[in-house]
Formats: sequence, structure tokens, C-alpha cells
Amino acid sequence: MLFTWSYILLLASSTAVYYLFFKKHQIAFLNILSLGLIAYWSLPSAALVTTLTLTTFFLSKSRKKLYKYSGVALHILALLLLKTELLWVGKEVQVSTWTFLGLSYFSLQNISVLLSTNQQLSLNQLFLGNTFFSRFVAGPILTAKDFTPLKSEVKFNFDNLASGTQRIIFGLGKKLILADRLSIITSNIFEPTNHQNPGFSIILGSLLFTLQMYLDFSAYSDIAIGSAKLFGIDFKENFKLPFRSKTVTEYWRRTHISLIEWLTQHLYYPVVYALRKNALLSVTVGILSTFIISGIWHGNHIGYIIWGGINALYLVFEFWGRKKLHITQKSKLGVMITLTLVSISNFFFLAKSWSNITFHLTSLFQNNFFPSDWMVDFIAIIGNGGHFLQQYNLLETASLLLLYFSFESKLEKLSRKNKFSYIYLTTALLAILFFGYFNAGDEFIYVQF
Amino acid sequence: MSCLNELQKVIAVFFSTTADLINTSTTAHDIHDWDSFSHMELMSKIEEHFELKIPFTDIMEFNCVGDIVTYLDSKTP
Repeated sequence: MLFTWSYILLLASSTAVYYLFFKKHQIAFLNILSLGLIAYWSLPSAALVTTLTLTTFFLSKSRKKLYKYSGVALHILALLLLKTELLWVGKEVQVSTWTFLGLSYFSLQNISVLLSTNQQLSLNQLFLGNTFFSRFVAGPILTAKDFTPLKSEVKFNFDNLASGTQRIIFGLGKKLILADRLSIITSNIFEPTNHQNPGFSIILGSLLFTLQMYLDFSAYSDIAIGSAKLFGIDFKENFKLPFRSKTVTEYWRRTHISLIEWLTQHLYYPVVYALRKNALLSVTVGILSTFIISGIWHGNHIGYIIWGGINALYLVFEFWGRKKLHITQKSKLGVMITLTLVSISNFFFLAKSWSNITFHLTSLFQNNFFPSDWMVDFIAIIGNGGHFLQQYNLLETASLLLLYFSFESKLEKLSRKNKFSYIYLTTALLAILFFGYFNAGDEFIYVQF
Repeated sequence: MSCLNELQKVIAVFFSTTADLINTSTTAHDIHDWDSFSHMELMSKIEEHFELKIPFTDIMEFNCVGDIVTYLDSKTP
């Protein structure tokens, strides 16, 4: 969700109403509020979300596999219609894109519930997990077992208020101070496809986009998880310091965790189980199919499929290396190698279309690698003209990034504390005020998936 | 008789560790190499050792070694 003052107002007022007026039926209140918000953006979407949630609920209670699988087929169909853009592009369907985008996360959750053998899920829990307003558009994605701990009645306590507020401010800071600054640089390098950048800019741009995507998406997750925490609800974590990973395998255990967990449970394991007599073959086929389908899930672009394929190959090579050659990567150099490998794959993710990919690759291999005039061909392009103030801004961005990644673990711990830290809050708010970019890159990247 | 002792041996040999470190509350998090790459291969070894076939849905319900022991105890004479 676009973080605006209206969101802060919504959060503050709904938290107050939740604790003051709803001693009972608090989850029902949140469900009505979330559905009301979806209806505010698009009434047909709210009707669709309600119908699909009710369908999931009743089919999941059935003991007949046929009913459950027909529910799964319904959600796969909805996902395909959404991802192939057949349903709404070029047609006068009054369903907002925003809500439809949330449906790709929604469908995965419902498939998980339908495939689960757990019959204990209540309708309130299902609606809460499916529609809760802070995480509706971009997760974290819940699997069937994550719905059960969603509590029904919660008493007000300052611990939730403190950790929720501090977590939201942490996410807000990451988004406004770091991700949106990087968004300007990466847009300047990759968006105008009429000028060819030197190879150095493309490589630096891919590296910075990798950091930007992480900062942007983890900021969204912080805000989503922090918002839920205000109401005493715990959603699962989505990131665990991914840029400390020494291998790509480790990176994928620490990034977009909720999607990886879903894919492991519902795609990877069934494939590996079917072929389990041959360990090497089963894991190799499992990884390849999971990552390619993950690429397809991200959207109707060749770049996403290449991205999935490259990551699958990294994982397969690492797996074979460990299994056959007994190679284990423990040196700190692994962190830089992993960042580089991930950035190579993210180049295709960012470029999306074949024409963009070939355009930038041509620039990379045909132009001089280093800019012939650093000020004109590099600084001026990434720095919006490159005058003195803009050069200062670039230096400021680099320093802030260095500072953030040096203290990331400590900052994360501070943002998750159950007690208000006035030093943390004041410093974070002042940092946002002084270093935040308030007129750039406003939307969260992962909202589009 | 419980299958725990035999299962401990199978797991210990598979992960090249000592059986004493494995008990009913051991989970995949407690053994370094027990990850999504090795999980199904381990299940296959358990199937071979105990000469049975464990359905996929049952495997997905296992959260710790104790769950596997309970399952095996219910299936083996």
C-alpha cells in the first residue's frame, strides 16, 4: 500500500476503535474494515474476494478430494487469468488493478488451505489471513499452518504498540531514505532505452537494483508486519538479512521467505517426492521446475522466466558441488560472489522484455566498459544532471547505504523491541525528515506482482 | 517396541553424525545438513530401512523425529 498520511490516520483510528469498542469480535471488526477498504477501491473486487474466500472455506471443510482439487483449480484459473492479463487488460472490467495484484498472493494462500489436511480453520481466521489490509497486496504469503495461530481476541498492551510503531517507522525509513534514492539512480540507467550506457553503469545499476528491490520489499514487509502487530497479530517474517548469505542457496533461505516456503511445500516437495529414488535427479528437477514456475508467477515477461532459470542453475550447481565435489563455501568472499550472482539474475528481472534485455546487453558488450567522460557519461546520467548538489546527493546516498548495511542487524533488532525507545524513534524520524526522498519512487516494487 | 533406536541409527548414518544427538524432539533445524535438499532423500532411506511407503501427505505432517517415530510405530508390527 502506498504509504501516505491517510494510511497513518487509518491505522491510528482503527487501532483506537479496535481496542476501545471491540472487547469481543475484534477479528470480525478487522475483517469488515479490510473488506470495506477493498470495496472502497473496487466493489467488484471485494465481492470476488469474499466469494473466493467463502468457496475456499466450504471446500476446505469437505472430506472429498475432488471438491478440494476443484477449489485449487479455480484459484489456479484465477491466477492464470490475472497473470496472463486476459481478464482485465483492454476490457472494460471495473476491477482495480491494485486489488487484482493482491489476488496473486491471495490465490497462493487459498491453494495452500485447500491442499491442507487441517480442518480446524475458522471463517474469521481465513478472512483475516486473506484480506488483512496491511498485507493484502504483497504478503507475507501465508501457508495453511500460518492461519491457525491468528488469534481471535487480543487485549491492548504497550508492547504491541511499541514494536508495531517502531517496525513501521523502520520500514518507512528504509523506503524513503534508501530505496527511493536508489530508485532514481536505477531508473536513470535503465528506463530511457534511447541512450546506450557504458557497461560499468549497467553492472552498477544491476547491483544497485538488487539492493533497491530488497530495501523496498523488506520495507513493505516491515510496514505490513508492524501494522498487524498494532492489533496484536503476528505475521511471519519475509527476510532475514539476505545480503549476509555466502551462497545463493543461503540467499534464497533468507529472502522472500514466505513465497519460498509456499513453493517448497506445494511445488518443490511434491516433485522431489515423486522422484525421490534418485536423489540428484529429484532435487535438480525440483529446483528447476520451482524456480521457473516462480518466474512465471511474477508475470507475463520473458525476463522473469530467465531470472527464475538462472537462479535455478545457481542452486543446482551449488547442490551438485556440495554433493559430488564436497565443496562448502564459508569464506566472506562468498558474500560478494552471491551479491554479484544475484545481481546478474536481477538484471533480467528488471529488464523484463526481450527488447530491453538485448538493448542493455548490446550496450554492455559493444560500448567501452568504462565511460569515456565520467562526468558526462556516468555522473550526469545517474545524478539527474550531475551538478554540484546532485553530486553531493550521490555521495550522501553511498554513505547512507554503507552506514545502513554496516549496522543493519542492530537496527533491525532495535526496530523489533517491545519497549518504546525514544532515542531510536527520534533518530529515525529525524533521519527520515533530513534524508528521506518524498517525491520519488512512491510505489512499492512488489505491489506489481 | 519403539522404532526410535533404529530411526536414530538411520538418521545418524545419513547425516554422518552420532545417534546420541538425535531424540524425539530433534527437528531439521537441529541438524546442519537436514534441509529441503536432503529431506526427501532421508525419507526414502527410512522407507527402504523399514520396508514401507510413506504417503506424501503424511511426510508433510512430520515436524520432528518424534512425529516420524509415532508414524513408524503405528505402521510397523
